Amino acid sequence: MLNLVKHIYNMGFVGAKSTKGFIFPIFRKYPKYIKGSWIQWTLMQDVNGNKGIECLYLNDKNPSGTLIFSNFINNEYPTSWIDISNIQNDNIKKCKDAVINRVYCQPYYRRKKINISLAILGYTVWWAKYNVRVRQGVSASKTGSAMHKQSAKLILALRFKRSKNKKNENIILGESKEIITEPDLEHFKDPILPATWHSLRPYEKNPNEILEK
Amino acid sequence: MITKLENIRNEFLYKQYKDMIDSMYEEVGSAKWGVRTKIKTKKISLIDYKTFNFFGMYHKEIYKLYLEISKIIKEECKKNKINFENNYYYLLGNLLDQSVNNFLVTTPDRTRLNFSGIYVIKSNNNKMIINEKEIDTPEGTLILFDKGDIIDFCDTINKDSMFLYFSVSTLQNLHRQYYQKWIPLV
Repeated sequence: MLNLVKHIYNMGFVGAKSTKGFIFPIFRKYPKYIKGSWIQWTLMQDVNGNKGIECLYLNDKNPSGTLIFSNFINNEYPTSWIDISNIQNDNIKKCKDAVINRVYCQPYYRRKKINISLAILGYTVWWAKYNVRVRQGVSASKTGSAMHKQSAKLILALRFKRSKNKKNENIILGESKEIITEPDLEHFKDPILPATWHSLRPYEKNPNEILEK
Repeated sequence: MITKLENIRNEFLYKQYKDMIDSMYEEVGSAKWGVRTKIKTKKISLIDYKTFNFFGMYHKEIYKLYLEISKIIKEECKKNKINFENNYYYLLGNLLDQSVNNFLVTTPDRTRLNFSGIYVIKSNNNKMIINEKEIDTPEGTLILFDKGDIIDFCDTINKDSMFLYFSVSTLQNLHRQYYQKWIPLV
């Protein structure tokens, strides 16, 4: 329990609120796990597609905690990114609806809770800035679905603490994938084609090669 | 592809580049007018990662390097039967920082039409490894990477060295890049 409290504290949020039937965390500060980073959001709804991306950079080009909302992407490859696709209008709730597509973090920065911090922060920012509600898609990778489940658990832990009797039906925990699907077997490093990053990127062995060994 | 460029004065370029970078700031402020006028200023850097392009700086040696890269790209296009004129190539150059020493790196996946490479402006005589093969990096070395090259910089990039990374991209692949950052390659 103490670990969970510490974990939530480091994530930077203190509670949860319900808006239009969706539950969102209330952030009090920038997550401790991604201290020193800055994030850029780009929504790409044009002839080339209907998607969006959030890119986290761990460098000193902007002060820690800077949030950038841009029509452009950087030249450098991000430390971590999450892209969303299939953005559609939800006429009943008067908002937009999108599914999480791919999640990536550079190998050097893995197991440091960067992805999950970005996911929860991104979930709130997509809503607050672009009125987009992000949910888990059917074709999410194993990493994506595990991350979704973990984030939902964290947000729900706060919600239940505040109102024990209220049922939270709008956050679905999602299912842990047992079968390794096609998206899990490739490192997909260009999720927003034809837009792409023009820089050197970290090399890692293809999961197929690792499995064969 | 590894080429040694002889006609560029690298030491001169290195010193001049450092001077150019050091002078790229402005002091912006306001004054309190009166008998004793007081001026308060703030130092603002003119280098912005959103607009900075090494080849956008005017300098004789940079111009010569631009021409050499253009020549090599045209040759490479001819070899691979790529139409240089119809692809409208653009060029971007940035100096590599030490973070690339930390792990193995690879070139972007979409490199059949795009090109990327490095040019050694100042060397610390360390060797780097490309596809498990040791490569010397004396000053003036230009390496054009192939698709999927696995590169280990092995501490070649530090305070005593200066490596330029350049990207050559078709107009089509510049979607959502900052408009003012890239310059045409002719």
